[in-house]
Amino acid sequence: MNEAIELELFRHRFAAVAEEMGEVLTLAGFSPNIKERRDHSCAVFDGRGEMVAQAAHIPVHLGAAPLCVKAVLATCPPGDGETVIVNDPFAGGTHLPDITLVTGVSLPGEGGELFHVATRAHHADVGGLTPGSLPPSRRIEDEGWRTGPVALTEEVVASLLAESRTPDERRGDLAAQRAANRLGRQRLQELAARYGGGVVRRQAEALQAYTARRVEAFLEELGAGEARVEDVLDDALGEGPPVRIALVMRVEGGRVDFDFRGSDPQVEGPMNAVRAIVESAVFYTLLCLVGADVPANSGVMRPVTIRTAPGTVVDAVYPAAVAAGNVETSQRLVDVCLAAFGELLPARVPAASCGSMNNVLIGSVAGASRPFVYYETNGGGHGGGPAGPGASGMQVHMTNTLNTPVEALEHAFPLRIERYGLARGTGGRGRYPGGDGLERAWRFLEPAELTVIADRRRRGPPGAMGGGDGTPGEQWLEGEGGARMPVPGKGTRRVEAGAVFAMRTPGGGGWGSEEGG
Amino acid sequence: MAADSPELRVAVDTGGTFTDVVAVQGARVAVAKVPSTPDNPARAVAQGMARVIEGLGARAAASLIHGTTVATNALLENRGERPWLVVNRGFEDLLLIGRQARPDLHALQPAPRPVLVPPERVVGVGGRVTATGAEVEPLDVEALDAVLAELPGAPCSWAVCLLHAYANPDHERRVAERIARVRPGDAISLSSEVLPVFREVERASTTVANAFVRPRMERYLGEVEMLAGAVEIMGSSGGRLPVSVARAQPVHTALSGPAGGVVGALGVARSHHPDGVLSFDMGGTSTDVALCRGELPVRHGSMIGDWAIHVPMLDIHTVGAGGGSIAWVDDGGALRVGPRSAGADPGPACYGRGELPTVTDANVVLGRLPADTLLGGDIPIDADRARRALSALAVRIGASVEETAIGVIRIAVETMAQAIRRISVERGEDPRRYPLCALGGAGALHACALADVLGCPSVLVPARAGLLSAVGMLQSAPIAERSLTVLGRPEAEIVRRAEELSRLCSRAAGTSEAQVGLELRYRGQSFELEVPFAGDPGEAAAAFAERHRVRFGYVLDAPVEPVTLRVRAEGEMPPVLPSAGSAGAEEVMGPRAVADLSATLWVAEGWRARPLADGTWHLERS
Repeated sequence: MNEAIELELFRHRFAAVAEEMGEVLTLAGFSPNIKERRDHSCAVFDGRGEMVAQAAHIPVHLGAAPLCVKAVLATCPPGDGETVIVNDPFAGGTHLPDITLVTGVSLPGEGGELFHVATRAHHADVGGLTPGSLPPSRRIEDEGWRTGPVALTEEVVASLLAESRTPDERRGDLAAQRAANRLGRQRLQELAARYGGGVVRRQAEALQAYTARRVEAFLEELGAGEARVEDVLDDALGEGPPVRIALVMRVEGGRVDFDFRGSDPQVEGPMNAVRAIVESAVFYTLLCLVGADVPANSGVMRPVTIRTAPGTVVDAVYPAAVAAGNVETSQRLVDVCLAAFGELLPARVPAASCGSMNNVLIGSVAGASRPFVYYETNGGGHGGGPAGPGASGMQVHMTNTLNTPVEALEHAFPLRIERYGLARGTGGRGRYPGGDGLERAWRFLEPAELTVIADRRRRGPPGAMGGGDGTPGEQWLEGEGGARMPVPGKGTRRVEAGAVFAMRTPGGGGWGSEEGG
Repeated sequence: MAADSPELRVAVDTGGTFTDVVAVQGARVAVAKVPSTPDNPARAVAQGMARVIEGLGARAAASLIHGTTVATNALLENRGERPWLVVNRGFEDLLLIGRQARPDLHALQPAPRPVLVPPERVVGVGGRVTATGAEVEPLDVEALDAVLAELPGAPCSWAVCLLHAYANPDHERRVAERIARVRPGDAISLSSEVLPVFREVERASTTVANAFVRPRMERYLGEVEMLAGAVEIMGSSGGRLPVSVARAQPVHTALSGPAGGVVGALGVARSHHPDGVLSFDMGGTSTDVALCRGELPVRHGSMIGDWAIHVPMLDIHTVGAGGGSIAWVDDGGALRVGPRSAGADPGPACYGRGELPTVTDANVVLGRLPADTLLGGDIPIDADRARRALSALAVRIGASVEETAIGVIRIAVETMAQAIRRISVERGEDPRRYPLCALGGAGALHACALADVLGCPSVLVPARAGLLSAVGMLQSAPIAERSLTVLGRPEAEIVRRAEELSRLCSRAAGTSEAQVGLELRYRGQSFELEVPFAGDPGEAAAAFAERHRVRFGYVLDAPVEPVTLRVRAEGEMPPVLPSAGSAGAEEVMGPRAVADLSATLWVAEGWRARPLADGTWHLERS
């Protein structure tokens, strides 16, 4: 059959496999994090570990997934129907709560390498220093249960359950991941039985080549150019000097090179990112620029080279703490990638968005009425851009989870929301102003442990084309009579019953100068 | 007409292009299709009714059941007068924030969230109730009073949504009293009445949607009520609603039109495949699919356009592909179909005005839509124009015109199959278990291809497939539904509430009993499963565990909590419509087209179609 037609048919067929896996995972998942916030992704891989299709709800999983599967294939390749588990950031993972299951799939009626299906899901607690497993850590050992690629056995599951503060949830979520992989394998095998294993292989490759062509066409249009961009994370752990991320991006002949080697060395704090996160940031940025309809597969990265130096904050090595690299440093990586394209395409790229997931974790302490872990990421302002003002109070870039309804939260936890609204005027000024951040206040009805992991607390998200910066984020405890006690952007503390904790998230950068030039 | 002749019942389904009318009087049936009149849909309703009344030689219709798009269109277009919204002080931005997620994951610059109520029409009142319904801060309406004092006299519509009002509606009621005292003519929608269910964003969104469509629905229903002795409105959940309910809670009519099609498909299922069917309603710009397993598939939340609407409605999934979807080649060299549609104007190339190739044109090129077909009753087909449109595409991809046409149809079908598989998996089902029930203008044309891709065992094409929504409305029963969140309530109270709601609903639907469901979850879960509730919470918990095991493959040794009561009463179903009988019709072997008054059926190669006694075509692989 005609190639243009076949390509489109298989695009839908592979996408359907990944999407159906996603539905099963969402359906069968136990924890709110997987069920309601959809903090997971499902994907199909070919024999070389290249991604063919992905159903992503969370961009930070995009480019990281293929690296993970390749690491699994290199060290512990699963046979047909066998499943391997991994979360070690230094052996295919990104941070410990994100647990990946990879299953081998033989295509019937054919020899050749196995295909694979994989699910990655954020598990709300895998042990570590603080509830929710996003601790103000200094070493990876502070962060919880960790495994390199190993066969998924009852013993492995038992060791995870033993370390998690919420083992029932873990059991349910893992069961859901297994069910999703089972379905993915079955669907791939049905495709091969129907159309032939050879055709499935060829079309998996054709689809990646197609995506690569779309990305190359975009890069060719850009011509040749170089952009040098730097941005910072506030600090390693709530204090100390800023941590620098530096990018030199070169575009030429339909290819692009991202050189991050000038970034700062890894730090003693949770802000380190492993290289897989850089891949995700680049992947996501290209998808946004080329067009949302481009199939998310490894073809995106074919015209791309990425250079990082091991031991830096964007290519952390053991024993670096990495819990927040996935949630915070990932956002800054997108900021620098978009800013670099902004230098070459100033009329198309918006100003920086809020740049943080504004993580809030509240966990029970000894003597609580019942044990609990509450985790929320909070959106902020989007950057203004050529299309108009930035959106307000919305998740940005590397995450897109739903927030917990006030009424659900107050049923489940000893907390009461005192107020929840847009922080007006926090968006950067400009011809098209940045969107506003959020302000939310939690009253503690019992003593509990509060962890904050947030960034853009010192300098707000930068404006573009002459637009102003967004207002940095801030958080504090409210005393009687409205006295405010500042809380650092990263850290853990005990909060007593009756106290109110409030957070204001950053506004987005403004775009274009206000004079309207 | 003799005074003692059987009464004339009429169903009218307003669609985007045509308004469909089916009338029944004893053993006689009359149908009509008239162009819709979007500026005032009541005109087409009146015209269509006049035509069937005349056709049957009657004087007037005794009853009218009406599927209306007034609420749907108001919500989709987001135009019209803005309601006011009263919320807790400190939560005025509730709907501006929504659930914080952006609709398109990879949008370079996501658009700001649209709202039905602008910020200057949101009023924050003091006072707070907790999750158990206890008041921890008394109501303070000072800000509301200030607004009421300034507001000009023209009538307004109000939505009131206060935190935990499902557990304790007292503050909402007092706000309503306050408004009514100053402005007795205003319409007030309380969240504790529209949707007393927890999760404030969805409840507020539903209540605001209700307040937004209410004034225009009142005006519209005023006109429609003049057209027949007794008027009822088709509700989104597949039952008939009294006009009084549609007027006060028009949000229950957001899926009024498509609901009729699903009721019609369920009727086909009951006659021919009681286990259920996959209904497949393909129109010009979109396709509605639903899985009917022996009963109406109901869900408690959906998006209508940009708005979360969480009242019960039929579980209908809409795919953005239809006969008018445009085929094109992208810059990576792939042949694509949609999401752009030629719509009704200019329409597919074969309608004689447009140039761009559509799915319908592909069917014309392949002879599946015979050249003598009259589109929508009166537009002749321009086959040459369809062929010209397709051949430009064929040149670009290096294929013959026929090959290109086949490709366009296969891609459109694959898009729909992908959506159907996903919704089936989401509901724990396998589409290979069910026949496809094809309806709508283009359903029967693509049914064989879709059944082949999905692996469905057979296809059913009902008589009057192109009018099935209206047919379904005539076969629907009166319905009454109530939901109530009972999270954290004592068992005795849950039992008492279930009995109250049950009495309320059965009385409203004119029946003696109601179905009572209870949604439960393991503590810590953020989703619920519904099981039948006969008054014994322990029994319900056991049933929940069993459902959890069947659905998700595991159970937990964790406490189970009741969350929400779901009560539904259905009254008596009207008698089945007289058969359309395809007298003299014979078995047809594919490939061949069979033109019906309301739709064209394409019997694909390798399929054969057998006419059944009630006029349904039954297709199987030969």
